Amino acid sequence: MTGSGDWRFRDARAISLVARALVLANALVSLLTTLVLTMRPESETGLFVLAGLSIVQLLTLVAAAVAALRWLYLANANARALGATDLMGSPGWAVGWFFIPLANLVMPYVTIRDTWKASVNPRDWQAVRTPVAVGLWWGCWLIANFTSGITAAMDFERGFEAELAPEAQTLGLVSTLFWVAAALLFAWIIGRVQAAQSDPAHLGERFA
Amino acid sequence: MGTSTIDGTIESAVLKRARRNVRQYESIVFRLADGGTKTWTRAVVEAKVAERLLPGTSGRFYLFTAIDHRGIHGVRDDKGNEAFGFARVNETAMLWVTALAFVWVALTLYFAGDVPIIGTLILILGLPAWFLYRKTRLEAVRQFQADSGFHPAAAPGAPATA
Repeated sequence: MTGSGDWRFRDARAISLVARALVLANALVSLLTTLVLTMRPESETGLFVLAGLSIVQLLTLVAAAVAALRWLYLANANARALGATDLMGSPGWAVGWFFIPLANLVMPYVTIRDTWKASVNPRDWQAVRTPVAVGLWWGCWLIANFTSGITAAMDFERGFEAELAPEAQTLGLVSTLFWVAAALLFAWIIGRVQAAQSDPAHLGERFA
Repeated sequence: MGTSTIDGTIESAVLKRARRNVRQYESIVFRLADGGTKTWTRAVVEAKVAERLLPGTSGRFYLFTAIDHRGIHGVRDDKGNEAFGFARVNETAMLWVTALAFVWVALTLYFAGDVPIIGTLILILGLPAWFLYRKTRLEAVRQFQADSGFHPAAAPGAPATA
């Protein structure tokens, strides 16, 4: 059997820990922000807390995205280094799919699914069953993003008034709940893939 | 993206759907020379090649991986048969989509003096996607032709033939 491409295994344990911590931190801050929003703060202190939380939410989101994508690049490359051949695209594509309109509705799921499978059994990865958690994560991610988009559109229609419409508030809460679920599942997926790639059986087989 | 080969024997081939000259397999399991297995799932195969993908067939199998799908484009079996065919569904579809998007953008620009956002987006995405599909197909053709001198011996694990 032959394949193409030579990939070097690089330790991704540190970045996986950072990515998981940031993803979970963003989920927590998102939840807090939404809870404060639903309380409709009117006092100066309340508005100050809300503004602070919103800034932290944005910062953790950017940091989590950077760390998670860096981890994904390394995890995908490491799966190839462990001997998995015929993975679609490249580690660069694995990251890039998130930014390509329309394709980002499907391909990030395919990438994460294949990275998981290739990490569990690099030699015959396509025989590995797709874990339910990956499908659930992607479902939550899509719902969170769609509902968030609709909430933003409703907000835009009202001219960004200080107070959101009740329907928009409900939808915003739904969006946050799915976002938190997606974050928890993604943090779990990162941990499982990382554990599979650190499996001495794989490493021994490939690098002995 | 790229091409690869598997030398082995087909253990099972589960067809998922057949449309015109394209077959999609749920899974194809190859028994390798070292006793291990290699599975290909959701493989897209052109009908001529699919005819050769029967359990028990031994030889060399030529595989491709495109940006968003994978498949088998050639076989050279140990009985001296060979088949090549590349399923061009995605490539053709993307070319049509890109051409239609181009017409859409051009007409809207000419008659309304406006640039349609969705049409432009499809055009921007469609053209590189078509190019990448085409690149994979040409790579597959080159790979199969470059290996034309190869004649597989009976693969280990293959059923005895007269």
